[in-house]
Amino acid sequence: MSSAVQMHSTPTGMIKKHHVAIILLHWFNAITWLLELTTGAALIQSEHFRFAPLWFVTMITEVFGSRANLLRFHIAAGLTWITVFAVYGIFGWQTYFHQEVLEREVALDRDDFNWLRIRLLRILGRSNEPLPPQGIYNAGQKMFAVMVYIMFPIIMVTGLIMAFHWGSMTVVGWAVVIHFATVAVVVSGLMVHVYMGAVFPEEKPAFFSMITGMVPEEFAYKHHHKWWKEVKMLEELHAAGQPEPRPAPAPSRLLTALRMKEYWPGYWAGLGLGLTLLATFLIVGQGLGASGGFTRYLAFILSLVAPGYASAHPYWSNYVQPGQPVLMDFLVFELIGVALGGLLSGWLAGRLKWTTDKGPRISPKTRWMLAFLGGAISGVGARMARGCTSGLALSGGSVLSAGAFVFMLAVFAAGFVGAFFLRRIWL
Amino acid sequence: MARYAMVTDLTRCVGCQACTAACNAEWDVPPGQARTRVLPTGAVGKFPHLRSAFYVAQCNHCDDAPCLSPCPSGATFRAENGIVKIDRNLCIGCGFCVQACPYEARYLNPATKKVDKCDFCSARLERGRQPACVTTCTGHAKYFGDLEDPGSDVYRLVYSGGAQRIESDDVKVGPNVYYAGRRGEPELVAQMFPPRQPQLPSSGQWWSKVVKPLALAMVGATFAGQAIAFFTQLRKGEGQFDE
Amino acid sequence: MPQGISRRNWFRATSAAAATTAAATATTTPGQRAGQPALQVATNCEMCFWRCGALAQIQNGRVARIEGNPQHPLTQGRLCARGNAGHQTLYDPDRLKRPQLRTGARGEGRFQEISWEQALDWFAARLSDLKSKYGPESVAILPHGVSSGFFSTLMKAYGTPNSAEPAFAQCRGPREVGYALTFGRGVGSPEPLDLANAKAVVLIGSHLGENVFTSQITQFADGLSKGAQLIVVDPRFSTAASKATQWLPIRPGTDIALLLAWMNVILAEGLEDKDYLAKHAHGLDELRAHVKPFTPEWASAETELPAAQIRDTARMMAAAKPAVVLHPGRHVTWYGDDTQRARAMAILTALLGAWGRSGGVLLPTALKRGSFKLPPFPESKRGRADGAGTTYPLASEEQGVTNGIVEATLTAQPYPIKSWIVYGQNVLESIPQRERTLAAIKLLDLFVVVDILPVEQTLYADLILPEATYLERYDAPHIVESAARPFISLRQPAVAPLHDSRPGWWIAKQMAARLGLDAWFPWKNPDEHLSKLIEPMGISLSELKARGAMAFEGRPTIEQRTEADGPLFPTESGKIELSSKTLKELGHDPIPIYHPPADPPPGWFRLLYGRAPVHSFARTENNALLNGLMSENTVWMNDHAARDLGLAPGARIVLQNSDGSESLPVAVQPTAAIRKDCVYMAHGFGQQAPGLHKANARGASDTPLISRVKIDPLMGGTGMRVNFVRVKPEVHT
Repeated sequence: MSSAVQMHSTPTGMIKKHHVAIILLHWFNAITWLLELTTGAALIQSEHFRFAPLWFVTMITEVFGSRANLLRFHIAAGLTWITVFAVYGIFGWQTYFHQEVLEREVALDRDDFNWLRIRLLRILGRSNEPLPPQGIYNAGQKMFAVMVYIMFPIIMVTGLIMAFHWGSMTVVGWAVVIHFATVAVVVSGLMVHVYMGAVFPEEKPAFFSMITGMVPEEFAYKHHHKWWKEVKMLEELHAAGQPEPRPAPAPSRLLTALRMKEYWPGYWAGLGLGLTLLATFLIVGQGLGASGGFTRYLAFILSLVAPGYASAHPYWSNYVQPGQPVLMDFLVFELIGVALGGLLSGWLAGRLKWTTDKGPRISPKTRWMLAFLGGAISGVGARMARGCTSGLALSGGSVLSAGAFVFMLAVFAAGFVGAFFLRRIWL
Repeated sequence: MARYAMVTDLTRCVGCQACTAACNAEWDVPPGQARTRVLPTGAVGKFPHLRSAFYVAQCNHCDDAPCLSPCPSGATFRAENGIVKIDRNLCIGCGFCVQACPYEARYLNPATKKVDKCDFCSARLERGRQPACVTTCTGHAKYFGDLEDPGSDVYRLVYSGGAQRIESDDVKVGPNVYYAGRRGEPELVAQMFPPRQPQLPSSGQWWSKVVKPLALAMVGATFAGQAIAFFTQLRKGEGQFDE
Repeated sequence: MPQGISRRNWFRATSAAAATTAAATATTTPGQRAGQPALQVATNCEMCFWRCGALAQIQNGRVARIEGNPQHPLTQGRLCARGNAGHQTLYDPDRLKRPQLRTGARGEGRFQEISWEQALDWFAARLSDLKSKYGPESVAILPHGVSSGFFSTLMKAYGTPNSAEPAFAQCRGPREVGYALTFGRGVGSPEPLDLANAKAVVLIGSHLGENVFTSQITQFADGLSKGAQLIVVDPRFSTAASKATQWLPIRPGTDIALLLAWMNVILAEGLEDKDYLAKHAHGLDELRAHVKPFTPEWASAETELPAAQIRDTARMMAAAKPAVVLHPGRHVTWYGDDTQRARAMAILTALLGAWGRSGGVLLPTALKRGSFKLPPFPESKRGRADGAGTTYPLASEEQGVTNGIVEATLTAQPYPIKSWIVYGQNVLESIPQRERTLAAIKLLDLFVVVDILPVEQTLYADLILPEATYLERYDAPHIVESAARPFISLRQPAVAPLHDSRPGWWIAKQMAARLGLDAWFPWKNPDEHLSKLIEPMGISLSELKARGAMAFEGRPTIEQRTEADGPLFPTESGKIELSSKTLKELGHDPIPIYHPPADPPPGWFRLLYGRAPVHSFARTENNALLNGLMSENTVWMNDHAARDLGLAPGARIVLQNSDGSESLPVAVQPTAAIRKDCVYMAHGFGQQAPGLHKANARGASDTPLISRVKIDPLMGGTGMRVNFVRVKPEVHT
């Protein structure tokens, strides 16, 4: 790819782009928006105004139990959102708002406008013109920022008006309409933003920078040249006896791991799993599990194939009852989430590929057969034990269930014994 | 399913406003507001050949209630027993429903900033009691009951007692509050207090006519643009999903 | 028994109330309370004098709601707007909270709060002073309401005969006297009218509908539903007129002419109830001769009603006889000939055979009551000062003549009145000629007001005693004999008295103790008093407390009467006196004679006033709920007359009477529903009491415009519809 500046050789290191506070704010904002858009769309129910499909409205309402809960959640999340922004705005006025926002995020120059034009043409395949050099944020990002900083206060104020019924009926009525309209504008921009960050290949380092804070210098050199030059200039100034530049903070092991496509360190992952477990207890009122979910899938298939048998069977009738959806269980959805989450994590780490993990001495075919056999044995065992390593050991252990610890001891004991006989499969 | 209805015998009504007072007390309605009101038609005609009656106005729990669809949050809803209710937890006080009601039966409670109206005293019905206005009416002018029940007073008054709805040629939305009278009172009331066309305030009209189509178009256009860009990208083979 | 509560429950309710009085300011979230079950206390309402059965619902120690008591034999669970709003009077923030002793000039409104101990000691010392200086007769009591009996007893024991309530000389006195002259007994209150079974109802001087007595409205509506003919005589197209078969927009002040013409038609056409009259009446021939000249044609000229309509309506009521209710009215002190007017109505009732008949006017059934043996009250050598029994020969000595007290105070004749004690009424609103009342108050050595709210008269009081409202106190029970089924209804507290207020009985008893008059209050507490009273009735106090009211068998028609009921017509002759011997002996007309009223000069209107259905007197205008329903009155004026004056609807005007007295600014309501020669306004508004934050100076009061009265020579009643007003020309805002 050609570049406007070609004097330097292509750099290879990493440079810091985002402060951790900005990273946190970004993801907080993203999660809030996801929740608020979902709940907000489900709140607008009347035929005059509704735009989300009715099944979506019904589904989200059922998830929250009632429309009142939905509204309460929407207001609570919105208030949290406003509070966080207010805290950032007040305590980070100088650094965050002044430097970050005004100087770097929203000020568009001539290069920016040209960049916008060329970028668009290039995307549409109508031009091969080189892109003008960009600052730390490119013009597209700046445009989005400008819009966000105009729309957010409007959304906040109109939201507050509705939540607290400030003003007359006319005022509240207009607040409803303006809230909706401004959100629609932001959503349009958000779609471009998400597309660029998550799908558009060239911007992938920018996406990662929102996790690690760092971008490859090569990426900065190519895509944010003006900023790269600034950084280099500062480095040179420091090298020439100017005050020491603040040392770039050493990336933590977690962040490095994210970057380096390694697996998470076990303790971090354990903490994450524990927090996930805590969250499921809080949100759905039960722990994690696996075998129970699979049992449900089986019961579902059974109810399709032989409903009479299933509902009369002493074991399956626990799951198959007339008028009650078999799949209406947290574990069913959890397993889908586990698969999707694993896929996402693999993709993020660049680990996605078709492969069969196996020991060197056996063929893939043997591995698959053994896996199936082992799965069947552990499946039966799990149902006999009324839980597997997830449902019994993990969730049970977290609530100090004695059975969980007996189970775990048994698992480890059997594992040590079994490993001796089966070691050749893996080694 | 029950089909609740109210019948007011205007010959028996002396306009004493006991119903309004009982309702205001039952529901803590702030002064100056009401869920049920007693409106005098005033003297109609030429002295001394005059006529007048009282219009006992309240929510009609209409079959085609025009207040349901304008409510953005779904706070106004029809309960399973046909009663049109407001979920206070959902009302945001935009007042779209206030303007939509042809009978002007809704008001914004200045204390709670939420819209309020008659719900046939649902809380009392659940306890097996009649609405407060009915039990207190000094003239025994009000009757409440189930139109599906042939033994009820309302059934008798509506199907053989000549009780009628207050409607106009333009507005027929199936009200379930009926009026009886021996001296043409319901006709006089319909003449003096015809229901008005349901209205949506300008903000609501902007939403449904302008903002919603525009927003959908904008989001749709963005989506379409991205789809084009994505496939262009794929076609050009520039997609390096790993740097 | 879903509505009643056991005594234990009630007790729990009141003690809980007492415990949580401090939390009484907490408010409920709208709708939060509605529909929830509550502890109920059965009592009766005091928002007006009808005293309907009420159930006070207690939640969190507060009266959250008042509903009708379905077990009340007369009112059957119905309450009017006022009854439904009672708790708002209880919790009125403007209430008198503590005894207050005047420190500023009279009317200035400067007071010092004192304890009850100090207040009652001071009061008793002053009464003792007055007694030794001027004699006990120098103290007058002006009471009203159920608890007034305790004060009347106190003052009688103290030694003064001077007790006068406006319920007589400003209200239904002429009616009671006129009917008693005819039938031997007055109508009584509540009026025992069999409206539900009447085939014809005649309202002449009653605006039933705007005047709301729940049971009377219910029965009225029942009658209408059954197809009763309704004849309404009123210069105004009242609510009742809108339901009438015939509305007679009569020239004000000519009722007697119409009544005589009706009698003329009935007797001329032989439509009277001949058997009834032959059996029970005395003086029919004299009457026949008397009414002969008063033809409908003659009356038409006086009343400005078509002769044909007079004739038709006479025949209409005759056709319905004896099931005719000729409503005797209530406030009937209008033109100074009111006793004679009531006589004319009573005579017409007799001609229709409606007295003591189903569908007509029912007879009372006496109830046995127990009583304590009290020492005889001291005799006054100087007699009454108000003229009852002397100047006004037929005035009730039980109820007295308020304006007679004012007169005596102003003139010191027959002897000086030095002190007024006002209990349960507002003398500046209830007695006409406000300026004279004020002048009299200024002459007093001692002016004590027992009240609930800081109404205007309290500004002039030397001592203000804050009474508990009806929801916080026991009262004398409401014993009603004048009903188809006589009954007793109880007043009992729903919550403990708020602030530092006290029940009337307690105040009277405390004063008696201080004045050494204990012997007249031989009971320790209301329970003992009540128990004694109901002893011969064969009911238990606990049951009465649980049910709120209990009824007994009545014998309301002539056919049902027995020896035990005494003479059917306790007149001198033992018969209905169509021609009154008593009146003849007193030198008055034995049969009513019509005297034409003076017409208002051009540009002037006769001032008429009446009631609004949501207010009682000047008592309820500060009630938050009722004020929300009606905060101001308007002046009804004929639309043509208003147009001639250039008055648009809602224009604010000031009314001025022939003596130059003026009203506060008030909105004009042009309407076809009133004659051109009169204006009408609801009474009770335009109060001048800064302490009433919702009612003060809202609308206009008729009282300052009633600077002239025509006194009824028979009973001292103040004829109040003799004032002419005009729109004050220069004020058009």
